[in-house]
Order: sequence, then structure tokens, then C-alpha cells
Amino acid sequence: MRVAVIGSGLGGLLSASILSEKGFEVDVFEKLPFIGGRFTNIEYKGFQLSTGALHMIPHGSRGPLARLLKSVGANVEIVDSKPEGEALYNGERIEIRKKTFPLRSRLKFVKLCLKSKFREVRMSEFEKGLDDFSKRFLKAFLGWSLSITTKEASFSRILPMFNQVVKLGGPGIPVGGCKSVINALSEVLLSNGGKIHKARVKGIKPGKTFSVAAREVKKYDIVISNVGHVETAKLLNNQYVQNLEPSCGIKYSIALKEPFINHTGVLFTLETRRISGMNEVTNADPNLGRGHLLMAHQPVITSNVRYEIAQGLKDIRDILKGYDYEVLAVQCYSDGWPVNRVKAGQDIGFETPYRNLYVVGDGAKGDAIEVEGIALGVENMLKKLEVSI
Amino acid sequence: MAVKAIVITNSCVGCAFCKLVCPEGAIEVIGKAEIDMQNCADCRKCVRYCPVDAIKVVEG
Repeated sequence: MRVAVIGSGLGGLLSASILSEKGFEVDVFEKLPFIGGRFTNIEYKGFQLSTGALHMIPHGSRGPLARLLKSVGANVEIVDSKPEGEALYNGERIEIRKKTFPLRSRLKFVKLCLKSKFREVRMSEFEKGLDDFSKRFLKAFLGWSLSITTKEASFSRILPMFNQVVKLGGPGIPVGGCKSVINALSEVLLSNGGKIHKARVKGIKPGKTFSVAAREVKKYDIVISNVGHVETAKLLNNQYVQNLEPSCGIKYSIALKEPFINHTGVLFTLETRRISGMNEVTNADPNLGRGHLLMAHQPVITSNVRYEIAQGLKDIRDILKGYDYEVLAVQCYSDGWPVNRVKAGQDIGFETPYRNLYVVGDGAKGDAIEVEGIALGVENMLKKLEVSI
Repeated sequence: MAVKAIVITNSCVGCAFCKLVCPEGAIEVIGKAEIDMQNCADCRKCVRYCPVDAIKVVEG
């Protein structure tokens, strides 16, 4: 069976390496001069910045992505966070555990879990009875992990992700950053005879087999698209999907002389205008920068990106008062690329109107945060293809 | 034909790849990218790296 994979992002390479391991003939197509899409490193001023995602795996060595990497023989060392999370509140750092939250707020959570079995529960309903700390933590958590605000979130849709966090725990940082994951996967792919072509795919023609036009036209039994539903529909010349609302977050990469966070966990910032959290990846892998590399993240509230960035920079100035720091890069992905990114809870899944044509990656995630959702999406697709992992 | 300008079109999404690959430090990104043509060495790395093809070379 011949498989074409369009796009060499995490979803594409994960699918490609697993299928090559199972004996499929795999061709990956990438239009950019490098592989990995939004999940790789880009060097800048002696720091390993990331192209999109933070250097972070939401559930560390215990999550779905780690499980798939292990099963395909991709060697990646993941440093699990310790502590899993901290909150910056009233100028103090508080470790996040179940007991950090007042009993009344925990009971409210359980109550709404039950309610959501019968009807959709909005996040605002959950927020209403919470104490100040829990309310602010909820906001920071949603902003950090999903780039959404409390107002636009649905408790019911996000509950499976909460449950994953409770079950699997906090994040981990891959040694070598995102790129080490991508390199390990491409090694597996190439060692199994798979190929990566630096070429742009111009179109897909469905039929008994799929004709994929890149530099030349070739026929494939299965096509896996890592460019999202909207772009995939364009390649097919079939508008099977419209108006998916992209999610929008801003990431700041900050160089520090002295460490600020001092551990490998996430620091949720509860009293800010925009910034929801930050992590200091050089505490897990010092080779990610000469000095310390702090990565901060915020959701976008208004439609004015310049204003949003100004607010975020003010937060950073307040938080890092007294520290010698330099903002290396501000990355925002306002609209367009990544073409496949869909707001959490609006995902339409991995299937398309065509048999044997699937979408993986950010636009086709399972019920989990960020790259863990990508791993679950790939797993679901493999189940459909009846490939056992 | 001499290069007239390298322009950022409206499809720029602000991912800052161009800033990160620019060897001259001629690009700033605040929401959208802006190129300082005074410092541009015409290497066109930004054009190759732009994931949304938002950077165009205008020949004159």
C-alpha cells in the first residue's frame, strides 16, 4: 500500500513513521526548507526557539504522545516537570495540587461533572461559584493550554481534557526541544525506506486511487493530510468544510541571565492582563540556550494583535521586574497559518468525505491538550485504517 | 533586472520565522512583519521560509 503524507509536522511524521514501520510505502511532502512545521526548533541568537508549540509535552512521559513515540521506537528523552505546576498569586508562588483549591470549589467541579452528563454546561456556569484563586487559575489554565478564554469555553467539551490532566499529570520537556521529537520520527521513517520530498503538493484527485500532484503526479492508496481540513479541501477542489474558527495565541521567547522560574514546571500567572503562564525550558535541558530561555504564552482577547502584544509585554515587564532579560521573539499566528489550527472544542475530527483520505495534526485532534491531542488524532486514524500499534 | 523591493503581503500571520532566519536583523514583527529595506541584503531567506508565502519579491 502506498501512502502520501502532505506536510511534515508532528501529526504527519507521527503517522508516516508508524505506517512505514508497519510496512507501508510512505512518501512525505514538505514545501518549506525544513521539516517539523510548528513543532521544531529554529536557532536565534544562541537559543533554540520553537517554530510554534512550546518545548513541552503536556502529559510528559506518561501521555499519549510519549506512548506512540515509544511504540514506534523513536528515542526521545522527556524530562517530567517537578513541580507539575505553580501559581503566581498575591506575589507568592503556590504549588498546584488538588488540595490547593478550596473544598467548596472542588465540590462545585464534581457537581458540574454530574450535570454535564445530562446537558451541556458552559464554563461561565462553573466559574460563577468559584473562589478568586480557583477562578483565576481556571482562566490561566485555559489560556495556557488551549489559548481560549473562560467565556468562550464549554465545560462539557473541555471536561475530557481536564480528566486527562488529573489522570496523567503535568507536562514534560523533551531534551533537545521539539526538534528532537521530529528528528527521531524522521529517522524511523527513513530507516524503514520512507521518503521525505521537499516539494509542494498542488492538488489531489480522488478516484480508485488518489493522484497526488507535486513535482510529478503519483498514485497513492491512502492520503494523510497534515495541512488541516480547509487547505485539504482546497487541494481537492471540494469545499467540504468552511469557516473553521482558528484559535489564536501569542508566544514570547525571553532570554534571561539569571533563572526566574528555577524549576522544570509551569508557572501560571494569575494576576496579569494577558500572560497565562510560562516555563523555563533550559532548566530541563541547558543546551536549549546559552543562558536561560523562558517561554510565556497568552490567549488573544481583542481582535487587535498589536494591542494584545503590548499588553503581554507590560505583563512580562511587571513579572520580571529586577531581572536582566531580553525578549527574543514574539510569535502570534494571527490568522491563516497554521492553516489547520482549530479552536479547542470545534474540531471536526480526522475523517473527510473520502475513504482513505484523512486529516491529522492540529485541526484533527482527539480530546487532549495540544500535541497530546495530535497523538490521539493519529491513533484514531490508525484504528480506522485497522493498523494496530 | 534589479530588485525593487521585498514586500510583506496581507497574508502575513506574524509567526516571526522571517525575523528568526534574517541574517541582517532587518525584520521586526509586531503583529505583522516589517522589513527595513535599508539593511536588506536580498538573500531571500525570508521568502523561502515564510509558511504562508506572504513575502513577495517585486522586480523592477
